[in-house]
Amino acid sequence: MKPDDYIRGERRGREAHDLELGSMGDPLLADAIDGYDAVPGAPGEHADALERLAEGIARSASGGRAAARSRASRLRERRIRGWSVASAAVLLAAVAGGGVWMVRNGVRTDDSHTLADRPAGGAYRSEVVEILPPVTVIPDEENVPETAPSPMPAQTRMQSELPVVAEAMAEMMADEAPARDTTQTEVFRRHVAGRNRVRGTVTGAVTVSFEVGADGRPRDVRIVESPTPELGDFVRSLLDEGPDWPAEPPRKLITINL
Amino acid sequence: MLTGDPIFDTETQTRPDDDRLLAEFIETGDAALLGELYTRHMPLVYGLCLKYLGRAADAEDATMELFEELVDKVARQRIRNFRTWLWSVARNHCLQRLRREKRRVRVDFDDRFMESAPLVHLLSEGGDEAALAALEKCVEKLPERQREAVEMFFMERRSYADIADATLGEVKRVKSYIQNGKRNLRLCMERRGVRL
Repeated sequence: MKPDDYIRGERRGREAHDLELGSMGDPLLADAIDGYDAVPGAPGEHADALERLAEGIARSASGGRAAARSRASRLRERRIRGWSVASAAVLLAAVAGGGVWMVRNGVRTDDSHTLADRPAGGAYRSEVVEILPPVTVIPDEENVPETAPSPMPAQTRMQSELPVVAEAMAEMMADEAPARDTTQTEVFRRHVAGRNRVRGTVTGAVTVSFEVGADGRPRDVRIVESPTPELGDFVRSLLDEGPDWPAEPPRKLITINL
Repeated sequence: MLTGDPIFDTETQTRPDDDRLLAEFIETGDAALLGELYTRHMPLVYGLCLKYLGRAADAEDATMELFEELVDKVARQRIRNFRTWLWSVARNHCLQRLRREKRRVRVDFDDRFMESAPLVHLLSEGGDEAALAALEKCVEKLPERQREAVEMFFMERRSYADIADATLGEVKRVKSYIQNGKRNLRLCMERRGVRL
């Protein structure tokens, strides 16, 4: 069965099962199926979009990058220009009025790491962009764990709201989890910050997955995505030298903005 | 685009010629090669963007933006599995876009990415006798609905919709039972000393 048949609603029979089975090892396919399910669109809407995309990609690849720029790119550029003019006007008005004020947009100066815009001038701040919640399952009254009681409330559905703010995440976890996990999150963030100060000025987002052993130590560390090999190696060292992790879930996936 | 295209061959997630195209692009810098490679997976990337961004227009823009960024990203990173890498890049792109727009979208961070392929293989294809014996015991210990869903899916090879029809439930609930059932099976197998 072709995925487009599945996406269009042919969900029965062995072929549909085989596609679903295949998606269990294919996160791209799985997420795509979820997406088409969640946003069915008007008749032909997605097919038309895919056609436009194919043409745009072909144009862009053949060198017509200017023509193939996305609508969002153009909107973003107009937005930036518009804000630049507006910002200049606001500043002028403020100076003329004899007052200057700073707009703080989620930036904190203490060591707790928020998702702030990267400071200008080469300074950087390490941030944990997202941490997978320890347990994310749909409430299932039959999902009674057979293991010893976990420190985490395993029956609670924990959905992450995006964009994930590290502190909001910690608060959410604190509401539903023992302080131990919140503390661990904070400890790791501080560890990253401390190492980052002496690391350098290369920035980027590194996604890493790892298992947690019975001793709480990360193992089988895999760099899923990294702008440079050096940043990936740096994240490996962060994990090697960093704090212990809770045992559940046994495999974690995190993205670290450096 | 979607019909008759072998990119959706789920038995071979990253096709051998994906690697060939990627290697040729890296060597020659010919963007047409990258375009061909991306176009193969683009419908799935678009679907992923639909999932995270929730709107078709945004998904279309994000899919195009991703391609425009791909040239630099491919040059800077060592890619072992293109499709898995593309999934990670696309997902991060969407999450960062949501962050820039300060949109709060609820996303379930399930452990699908960490699917236990050995467990799935054992359930669907069989395997080592000792492991199968342990698996059988563990399946028996599952809560009724999870056991029912796991058996119907893996042993009887029914689709989610077929199972939902047979059990008078919803597809979403069936997926949940199977997901939780697999998780519990994995824990049970580990306690029995079978490492998957």
